[in-house]
Amino acid sequence: MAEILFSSLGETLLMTLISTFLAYVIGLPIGILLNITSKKGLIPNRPVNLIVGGIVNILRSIPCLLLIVILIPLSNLVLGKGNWSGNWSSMIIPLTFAAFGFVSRVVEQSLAEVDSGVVEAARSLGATNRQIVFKVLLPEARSSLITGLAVTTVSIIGYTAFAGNIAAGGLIAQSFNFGYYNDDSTSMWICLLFVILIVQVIQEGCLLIAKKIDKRRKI
Amino acid sequence: MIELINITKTYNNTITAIKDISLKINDGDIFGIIGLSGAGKSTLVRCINLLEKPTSGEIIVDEQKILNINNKELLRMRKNIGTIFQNFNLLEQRTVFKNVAFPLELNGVDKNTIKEEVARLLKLVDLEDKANSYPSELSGGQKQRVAIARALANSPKYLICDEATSALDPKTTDSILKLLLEINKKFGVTIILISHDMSVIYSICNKVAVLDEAHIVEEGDVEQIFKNPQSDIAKRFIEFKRLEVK
Repeated sequence: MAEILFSSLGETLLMTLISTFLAYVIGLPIGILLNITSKKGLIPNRPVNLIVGGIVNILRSIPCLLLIVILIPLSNLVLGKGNWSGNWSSMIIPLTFAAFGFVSRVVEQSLAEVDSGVVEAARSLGATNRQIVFKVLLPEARSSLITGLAVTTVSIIGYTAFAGNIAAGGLIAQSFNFGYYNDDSTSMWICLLFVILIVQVIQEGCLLIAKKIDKRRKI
Repeated sequence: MIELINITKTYNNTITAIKDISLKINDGDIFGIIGLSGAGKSTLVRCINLLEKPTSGEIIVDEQKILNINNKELLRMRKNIGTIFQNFNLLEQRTVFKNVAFPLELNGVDKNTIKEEVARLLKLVDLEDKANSYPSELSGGQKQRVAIARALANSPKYLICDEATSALDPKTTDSILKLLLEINKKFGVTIILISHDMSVIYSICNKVAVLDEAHIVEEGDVEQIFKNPQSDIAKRFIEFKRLEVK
């Protein structure tokens, strides 16, 4: 039991953390692009905003379960054909795709919260658009970005449930197996307890950091 | 010298924010622009500090026409025209020190020079002891002093004050105006002061333009307009009366 539990815990953490990281590698730049090309952004560009926003919306409408099927060719390409099935790593690509659209919107929203007056002040000081993104928008939105990270990570943990469909492991799939196939509700609950703990640690940890680094007036 | 020639700004081809405005702001002036809310002051400011392009007209800064310059030149021009705002617009996640250092960072100034410069500027605005505070820990007057130090970090020739004292109480307003006057006299920075309050204009400006419904209705020496206003709107600005309810 303990062995299964810890290997599942490891699988869930690896799936979640790697996918979250990759989702931000792709989603953060897209979120920035969506923000700066929006109507009130630094370089308003309606066509770009609509097309990129549309792609993000389409991606977000495809359920994670179907992304697993749709992305089989990509997984074959990246991980090597036949090498990845039944392994936690098979979930990385679908999870990343399921999350980066979400990340883009979360980032876009966080950046939109930055006071437009501050951006205006930076422009009046002769800042380039690049400088405004990296020295004003991202640093000023840092607290909101961290809260967004918590929400994203917790969503991805939820998506790891689909690992069960392709025997990729993880706590949630294992918990399902215990409860559904083995009629072992004690083990099921123990697995779930670990999921709950991970979610608590991530959510509260991020909130704590977000609060600590936020130097605006505390309300 | 900043010269505006027949500046008009129209939004969506329908709303005319300012129309046919011509102004000459000489070096060393403290030039007041007064007008009611909606008169077009903010649009005028955004045209002068080059954040917005007028629909038509020409702006000449130090004998250079600036409406068709390239982006690099434009950024350099903006650095020469500092702006302070009613809402201060400080970077909330940066300390006072880092706020004043911000324009220097943008210019790629090295760390030691930044340290010296920021120390000098904070001394000028009398906030040496607040270097490590965050804007949320400061009073309105202190925030505006940080904004002034930040605007001066680029060593601009011009400083635009966009309703800079409108959010401050009278005593703090006086101290900020005194500081602006000092900056004008000591460093020769030309100041363009936008306000809806005649007493603010009267305190430090030598010239004033009265803006009403997108037009300039009157312009001249402050003393002269104060003594002998021609337009109705100028008369209203210098007239004090008690309100009555019938």
